[in-house]
Amino acid sequence: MAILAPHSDRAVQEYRHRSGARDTYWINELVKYVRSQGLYDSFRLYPFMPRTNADSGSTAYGLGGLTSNDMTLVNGPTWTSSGLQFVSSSSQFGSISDFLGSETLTVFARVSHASATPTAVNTIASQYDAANDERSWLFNYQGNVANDPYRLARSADGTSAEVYEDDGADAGTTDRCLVAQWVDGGGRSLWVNKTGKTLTLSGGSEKTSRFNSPEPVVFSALISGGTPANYADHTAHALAFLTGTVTTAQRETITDMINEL
Amino acid sequence: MSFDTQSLIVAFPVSEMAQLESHREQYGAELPLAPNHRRASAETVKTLLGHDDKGDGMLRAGISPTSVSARLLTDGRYAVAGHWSLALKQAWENGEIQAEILTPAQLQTLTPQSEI
Repeated sequence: MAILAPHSDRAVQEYRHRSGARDTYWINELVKYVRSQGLYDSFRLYPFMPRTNADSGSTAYGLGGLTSNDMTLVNGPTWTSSGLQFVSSSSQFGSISDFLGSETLTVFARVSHASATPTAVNTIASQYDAANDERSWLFNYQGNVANDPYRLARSADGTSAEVYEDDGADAGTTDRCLVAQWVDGGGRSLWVNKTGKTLTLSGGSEKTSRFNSPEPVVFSALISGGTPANYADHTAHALAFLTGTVTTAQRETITDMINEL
Repeated sequence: MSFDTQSLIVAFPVSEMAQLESHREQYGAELPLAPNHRRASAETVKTLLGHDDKGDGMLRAGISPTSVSARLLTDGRYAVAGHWSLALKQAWENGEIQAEILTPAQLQTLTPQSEI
């Protein structure tokens, strides 16, 4: 039976019709919140639970005014009861046609890593084409280095980049909402749920802006020169993008609501 | 059953990869584009590869430009994973098509680390 929120937002009604989602209660609450904060046109959400999206097939539908682009699922990631499962050995990933400029970007990725001790780079999300010098941003779980830190990279010109890493203390398989942010004219930040992480420059040199790459936004892989690589092994509950300035209270409220999806 | 019940990682040389689409008519079998049972009229297509994207034994068509991406290996071959049509599997077992089944460990060894 469909679980409908009272007074569903019109965008949620349209999303439910388009995707076949059966449970949109928290999606509706989240959309109402971002509308109330004037953030709807800067926001795009891709829910990945079978009850909150299509539950089969190669499209993960999204909603929010930032773009109308849905996510194409490549090589058959599995719609499990825990979320959308991506397996690196099957080269699975999701791709969204470019919808981002160079503005401040906040990426919310609610994922459970398949392993607490990965041995390879697991890309959480990226728009980072090194082969074509169209690097913009990259968010990784660095399974190939000690302590498995999270890595945030950003390029201002598409060619050279800053690479920041945390201490790896949050490596593990716990379901968590990871929040990566690159501020236009400023720094970069990472939160695990609402806990801020200290990031240290581990490569390149500090940047304060982000290249406007025309390449697709990729989930669970990196695509460079048209060739996907650095696939992730994880199960994903949701992915969301927010552009422009966001307050701490707004970021934390959105994080809490994504953790309810 | 026209498709293998096991998901296999298969490496093809570039020449075979380029031919794969043309083998669809000869070795392919019908699968729905999306086994979404809410949409009874799901279109079926002839394909070489299926994915069990709900973990329930039902396969969705795999070989299409948007739903399949091959992994380039360090030895120049391309790897694709999924449930292959039994006719295609028979063809590579007969030596009509060059292909090698890889284990996940072999795949990892042959996977290049992408430049950051």
